[in-house]
Amino acid sequence: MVGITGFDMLLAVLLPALVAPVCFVAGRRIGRVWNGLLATFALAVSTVLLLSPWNMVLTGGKVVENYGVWIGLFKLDVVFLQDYLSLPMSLLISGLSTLAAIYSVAYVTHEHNQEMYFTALLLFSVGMIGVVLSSNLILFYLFWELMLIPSYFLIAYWGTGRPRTIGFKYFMFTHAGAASLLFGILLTFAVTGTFNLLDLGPLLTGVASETLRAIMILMFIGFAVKLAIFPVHTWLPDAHAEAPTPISVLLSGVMIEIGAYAIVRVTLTFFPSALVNVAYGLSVLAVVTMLWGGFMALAQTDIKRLLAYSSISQVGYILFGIMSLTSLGLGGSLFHLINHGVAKGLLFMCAGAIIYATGIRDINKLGGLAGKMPVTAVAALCGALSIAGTPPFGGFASEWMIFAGGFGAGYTLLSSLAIAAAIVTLAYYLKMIKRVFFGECPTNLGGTREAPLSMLLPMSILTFLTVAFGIFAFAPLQMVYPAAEAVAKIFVGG
Amino acid sequence: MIPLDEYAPWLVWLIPLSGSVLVPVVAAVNTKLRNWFAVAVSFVGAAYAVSVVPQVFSLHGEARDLTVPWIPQIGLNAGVLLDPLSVFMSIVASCIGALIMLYSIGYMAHEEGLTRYYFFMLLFIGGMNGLVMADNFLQLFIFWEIVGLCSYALIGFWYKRESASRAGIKAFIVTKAGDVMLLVGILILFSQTASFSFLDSKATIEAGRIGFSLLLTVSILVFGGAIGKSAQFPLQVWLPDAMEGPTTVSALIHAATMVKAGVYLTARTFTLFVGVPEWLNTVAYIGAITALMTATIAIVSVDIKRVLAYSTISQLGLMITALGIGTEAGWFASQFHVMSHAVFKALLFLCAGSVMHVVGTTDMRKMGGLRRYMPITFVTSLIGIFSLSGVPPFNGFWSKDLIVASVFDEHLHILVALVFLTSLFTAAYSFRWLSLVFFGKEPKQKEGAHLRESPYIITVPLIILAVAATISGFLEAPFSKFLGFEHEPGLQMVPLGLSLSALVLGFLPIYLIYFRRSVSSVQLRTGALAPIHRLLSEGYYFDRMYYSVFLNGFPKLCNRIHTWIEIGIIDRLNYAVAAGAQLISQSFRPSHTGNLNYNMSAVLMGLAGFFILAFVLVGW
Amino acid sequence: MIPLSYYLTTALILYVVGMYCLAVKRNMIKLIIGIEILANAANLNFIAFSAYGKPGTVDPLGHNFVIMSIVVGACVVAVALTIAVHAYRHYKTLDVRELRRLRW
Repeated sequence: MVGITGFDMLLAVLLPALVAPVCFVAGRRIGRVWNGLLATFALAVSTVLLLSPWNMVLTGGKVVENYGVWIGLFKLDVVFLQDYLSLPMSLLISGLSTLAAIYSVAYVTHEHNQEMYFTALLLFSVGMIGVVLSSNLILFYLFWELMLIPSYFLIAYWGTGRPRTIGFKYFMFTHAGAASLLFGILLTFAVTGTFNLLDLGPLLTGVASETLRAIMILMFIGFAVKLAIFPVHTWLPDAHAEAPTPISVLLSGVMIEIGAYAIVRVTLTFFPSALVNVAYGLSVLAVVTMLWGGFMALAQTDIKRLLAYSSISQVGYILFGIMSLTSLGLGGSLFHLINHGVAKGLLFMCAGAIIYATGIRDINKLGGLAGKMPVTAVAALCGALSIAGTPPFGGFASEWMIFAGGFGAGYTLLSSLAIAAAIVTLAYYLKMIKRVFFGECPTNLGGTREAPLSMLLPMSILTFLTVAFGIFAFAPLQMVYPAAEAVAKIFVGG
Repeated sequence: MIPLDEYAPWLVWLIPLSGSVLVPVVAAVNTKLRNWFAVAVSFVGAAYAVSVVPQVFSLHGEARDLTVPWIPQIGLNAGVLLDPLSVFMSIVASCIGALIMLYSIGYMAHEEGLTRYYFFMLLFIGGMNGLVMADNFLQLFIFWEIVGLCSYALIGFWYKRESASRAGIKAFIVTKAGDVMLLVGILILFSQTASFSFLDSKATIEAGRIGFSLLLTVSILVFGGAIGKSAQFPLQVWLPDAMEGPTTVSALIHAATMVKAGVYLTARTFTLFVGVPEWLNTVAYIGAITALMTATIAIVSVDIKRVLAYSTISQLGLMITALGIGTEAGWFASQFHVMSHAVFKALLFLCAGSVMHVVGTTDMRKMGGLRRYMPITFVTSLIGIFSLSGVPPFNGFWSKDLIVASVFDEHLHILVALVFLTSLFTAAYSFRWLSLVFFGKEPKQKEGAHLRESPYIITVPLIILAVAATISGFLEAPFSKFLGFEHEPGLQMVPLGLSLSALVLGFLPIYLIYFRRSVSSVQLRTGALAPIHRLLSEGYYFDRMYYSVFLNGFPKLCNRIHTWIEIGIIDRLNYAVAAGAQLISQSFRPSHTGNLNYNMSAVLMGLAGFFILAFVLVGW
Repeated sequence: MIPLSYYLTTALILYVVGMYCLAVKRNMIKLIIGIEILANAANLNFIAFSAYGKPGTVDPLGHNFVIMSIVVGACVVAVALTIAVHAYRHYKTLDVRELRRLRW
């Protein structure tokens, strides 16, 4: 009997999917609060189920659940995998989804069709959890697209601004990337005859290097679009700024990081020879992304767009750490996935709380809210400082490792530029905090009250985590660092 | 009993840190309890700091490194370095911190948001102690940033005031520029030595395993961090604006402790980089230039705290110059001056606070003649000013003389000249400050406002610090023994002559202008010296320059890039692709005429095409 | 025996006639007749091949296809005529070029 129930991972992936239609059908009758709590409960159970292999992964390295053959002709089995790499990611996804679900309870007060909203939210989470748990490429691609569709609906029907257009732009953009990814997957099958990630390694050694490079580039384009690095980032500001806030939390905090996870899981593990040639160029691209995101964020006045551009900048950091191909840099990047998810999720929640309380998104029209919304102010400051890489928050702990990795890989100038980019990050965050929370409170905002408890609860949890991950960095690193070392070994040896 | 020996070096910083987290908890119970709780915690920390002294004496100048595993995956340990320098700095930080906390109870009594204040003050004291007790660069950097964070939060304490928030951000970002350089230096060093520890780095450098150009780069970068934190040229612009914070904050953070962190870092890395002559030159000249530059600006400032801020930068410059000399004597002189300056500058700030508490303004033009009404404050300020300008037998005289002597001994004549001129201006602005506040006529007071001495809780710390300023100058010998040197306190003729003549030459014009009123200051300001006055008031236009580039130019540049490239090109590209796809579909649309005949014709044409293709390919 | 090519040519001519009718004629009834001609061309083709496949014998498979085809063709005509009748009742015209609502 493996884990709590014996089929933990399957249940973790499927439970939200099974609860989703229940939410839809019963939603209108039981009301917004109970519906939200139902969704939260389903996701919380998923989180607990995903926690259960913790000890086994620490000692054994991976846990595999095999549910039998699915399409025998292509050697496709339904297999779920938890190892050092996927366990922290899956916990981040399900944890943040749970918090977003609680947060949504208050958020959907002003929205229509809340039962459909929670259904879509649950399906979105299913897709994301499934991506990191799947161990063959077709299942991977299936969940990859599965996380795209509900998010499109969520943006297009519950978003702000021009939701239909922006939802469509988001869908087309990431779908085009996914098409490239599919092409790469099929090519992989053509040259190796299997989709299974566990078997793929040895089978790829005999393949011609041009083919390997082609596959790597195709797949990387797909991951890069999802990750939103420099030239293909333009879908992100619109999508994250105009999505409903709990969905922005998930999009920015988790979904783009699945792109990074995929790069490490697939591109780094299976195509090292093709990657080392382009690693330097990609590091340059990462630094450009960092700086570009920072400069653009400085020019924004809409609070959610500013956070969206900040996500682009942080993605640059993550890519930089990955492309350093050292265990310290990779460990830093994987740790930064967690820290960024927590901190950016927290920041979006604060932004949502401010918009909920005041109805204003433009930072120039806000001011002096620290006295009216103290908890939100503290939370926002913690999140902002974490991302800007200030100790004692978690963001610093992961960022110094990324930079150390960069120096270790010999990219002295690039790493120095990357560290200098921290000044820009700090600048726009301090500017945002000052415009929103400090100064005189305008008369029309005199009656602002603190956000409701259902919003403050997830914010407080995340604030605590930003500090905890900074001081007690060894806790997440326990799981993350062995993954980094295992991947880095591929490059040192090969 | 609690084993003091083993855990004291850790508790020095852990106690204030944990105390800070408890402040909001205690505040929920009772606010008066919170205030006294915070003070008590700071005193306990100070007690632990002092308790470590016997251990250090027993080490005879050697260092002891205590570590604890922190992140075992990377092999990173947290640790404390028990050596004279770190213990000395921690005593300065905790004792002056405790005294200022006591002072805060009276000074900040009528403020709101005190939970935030005490939280950050305790966090700062813990962070500062952690900084100086750290045994490795990463830990030092972590606390470096934490104290920077506290500084930002405390400068912007009155967040409803626009100028205060701006000053806080300015401080954070300017020091961040220095911090970036420091981090780059630390990480480059780490990539070469695979360890952050000071002792390991020292061993690696002494073994010659690091190339000279790399060592030079690292040394300059690490000093860059010191420049940022200690507000040296060219990053000196944040400290004067930091006076927007409460006076207690200015006294603790921006006079006695945080700004000394740069000096501490330079002193700590002295043994690592002393073999790099370019580094020594850079350190010495930047220190001297800063010292002279800011001393000249202090003469024209009319804000009671800004004068002291510029004075702090200037004195820090002197400390750094002394380190840049490269000798043991210079190192000792700078540490001795750290101690003296911490005492008399904290004293002067607290006196300024006492005056501001009574008069209600920071503008010295609205003050005057206060010596009649605030005798204790006046006497203690007088002692502080005597120390600052180097009047014997107060502590400033001894430490500054040591600095002059150490510079002179190395025959570095330009530096001697710069230090001499700095001392001259120091005397000048110090006595000007004194005369504007305490001498002359009282300004017109509002109805019902009394000019009276401040309450005991404010004056007692003043007295304590004044006594310390008087006697600490004579502690040269025990202090040197503590640091592990064999130093004979004595006075050399030429440096002594230089110090005293600078004092007299600086005092004389001020006496004439401000005390005797025989030369009018207004005439000087508006007459032939007007352009110089303008230059000095603007701080040599550094602020204007930085503002136009970074506050004006840079955001405008970002806006332009955003509008032209991000929206103009990249986004347009997306919409162009979408438009292109639409164009293609639109161009095919007219083929759907809905006319059945046309459809059938199309089938026919397709069939014909297929046959032609078949014939061509198969080659019938 | 008449050479096979005669039958095939006839079938081809019938096919062309049927396609021409579908591509050019406007009247719905004429179109239906055109469909029938096309079907008959195909049937003729099958019969010809079944007779000339193996000399001396007749392959019954072709005949099977033709019978099924005739039956299906009858159903097709029935349905098509029904549609034509209803279309005439609704649109008052038998001109297929008037029925353009399925355009772009």
